[in-house]
Amino acid sequence: MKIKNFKGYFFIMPSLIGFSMLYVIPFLLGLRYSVSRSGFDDTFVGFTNYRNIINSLSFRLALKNNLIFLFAGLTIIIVLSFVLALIIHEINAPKILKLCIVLPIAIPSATVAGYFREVFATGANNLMDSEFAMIGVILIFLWRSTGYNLIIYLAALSQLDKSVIEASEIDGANYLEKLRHVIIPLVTPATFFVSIISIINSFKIYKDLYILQGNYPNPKIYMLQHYMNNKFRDLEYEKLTSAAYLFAIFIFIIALMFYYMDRRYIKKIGEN
Amino acid sequence: MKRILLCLVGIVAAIFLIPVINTITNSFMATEQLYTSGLQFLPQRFNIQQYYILTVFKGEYFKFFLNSIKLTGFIIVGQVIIGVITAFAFAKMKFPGRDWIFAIYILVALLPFQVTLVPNTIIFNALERTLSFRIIDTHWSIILPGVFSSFGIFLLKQFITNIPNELIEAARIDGAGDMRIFFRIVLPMVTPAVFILVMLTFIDYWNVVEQAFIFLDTPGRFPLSVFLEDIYYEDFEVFYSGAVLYFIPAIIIFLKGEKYLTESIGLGGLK
Repeated sequence: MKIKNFKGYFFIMPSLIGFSMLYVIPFLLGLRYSVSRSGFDDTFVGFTNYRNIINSLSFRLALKNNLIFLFAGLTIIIVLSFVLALIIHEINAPKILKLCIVLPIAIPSATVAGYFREVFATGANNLMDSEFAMIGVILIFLWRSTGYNLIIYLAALSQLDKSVIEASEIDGANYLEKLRHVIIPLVTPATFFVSIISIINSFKIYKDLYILQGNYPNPKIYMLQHYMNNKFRDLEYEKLTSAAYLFAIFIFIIALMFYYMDRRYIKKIGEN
Repeated sequence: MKRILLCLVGIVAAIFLIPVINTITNSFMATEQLYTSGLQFLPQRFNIQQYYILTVFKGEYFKFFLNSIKLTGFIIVGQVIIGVITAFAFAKMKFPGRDWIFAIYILVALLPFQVTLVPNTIIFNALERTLSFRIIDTHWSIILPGVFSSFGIFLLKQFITNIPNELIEAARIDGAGDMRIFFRIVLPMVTPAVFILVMLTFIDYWNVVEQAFIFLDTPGRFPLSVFLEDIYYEDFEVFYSGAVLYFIPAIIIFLKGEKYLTESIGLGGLK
């Protein structure tokens, strides 16, 4: 092997050092905490911490809420952003309308907290304190993240091969058939991308929740990030790291799933 | 049909805009009206009293504003410099293990910040002990992870990969080294991407929340994204004007960069 081959390392070195020290090494180092008795006693205890948190009520509550939020939020946001993008694309809506929907990604959480407090308090009782608080969380998520997905879908729609769509029209397909058999399959790569971006964006909702309700929110919207932050505050490092790894595994599985679905899709298109 | 759909999109757009509009209109209300309960949309009497009180009597607001500018500024500069160099190597240079290292960069980027929270704290403490360089409870605890986050590298790599290889080969045949290629060919061509990175990083760190309340103890060092909450409880009569002044820079950057974002983020996802 020639030295020349390693020249690239010279370029990535600053980033590699910083990134390893601040992200990769911490990620691996945390493993030790997750199998120790506590942050201050490193007796090896195997998977006890993992078992303990899986059995603990607060972790289960956080996991349950997070899954409900991810599942409902993701489904709604994908459908909403696709439908909006489709309409905007088909009727060639004025650019300003799109801009309004995208704008919320730029608005800091604390600045609109005043509005959200007021609007959720309208009516007999406060939505964010009620048992339907998750609806409020999903609404904030939609408000904040639909714009991002809209951009992705609009780009995908504008790049569709016109000849394929025209061919389907000549074959006598009505709009719904065209949508189902041509447009939706063709924008599938964008849907994968939208899903990944939405998962990442779904973590950002924590900022809004923290601003609105602090460390111990309504139990109906207590999420894994609340759980982890609170374990940090309580110095229960072994619990925080165990929860963090479960969380990471969960995210990696989802990412891998999308990756393989994307691969299979590309293969399928290639065969046709 | 087209009319109906246009109205529909218009209504959705209006709903998305309401939180921003409401914050702006509330910033022109007199104190008495602010304290009336319930959603208020229009000021009974238009006045700029809130802005006046904020700028003249609440000097500390601008101290926190400066904290936010400092944090965001350092992170943007650092991330752009490191991002461009690293992304260039990942996109256009061949070295052993390249794709594996890049895969790790992406996977880690997917994780929320809480996952590496404990070990991060420990590394910060170790650095403080060995180098006597204080990180926890200073702005460095937010700046350093921000600068070295892999997001910028991921974004810029997509763009640099799209620069035709022929261009780079041609320069190489003319005798240009990697450095020269980087500065003369790659850098001028990724300027729009750098602008997108600046915009998205700005948006992200202008709204920094968790890192601030976990790593900072001294309230005077808080960014405004967190301190605004204190203003809500303690100086409610100026909260809305403070909020408006705080989101104006974000909106300006957003309006300037939105065009690039539309052109590129969308395409990036299709590659």
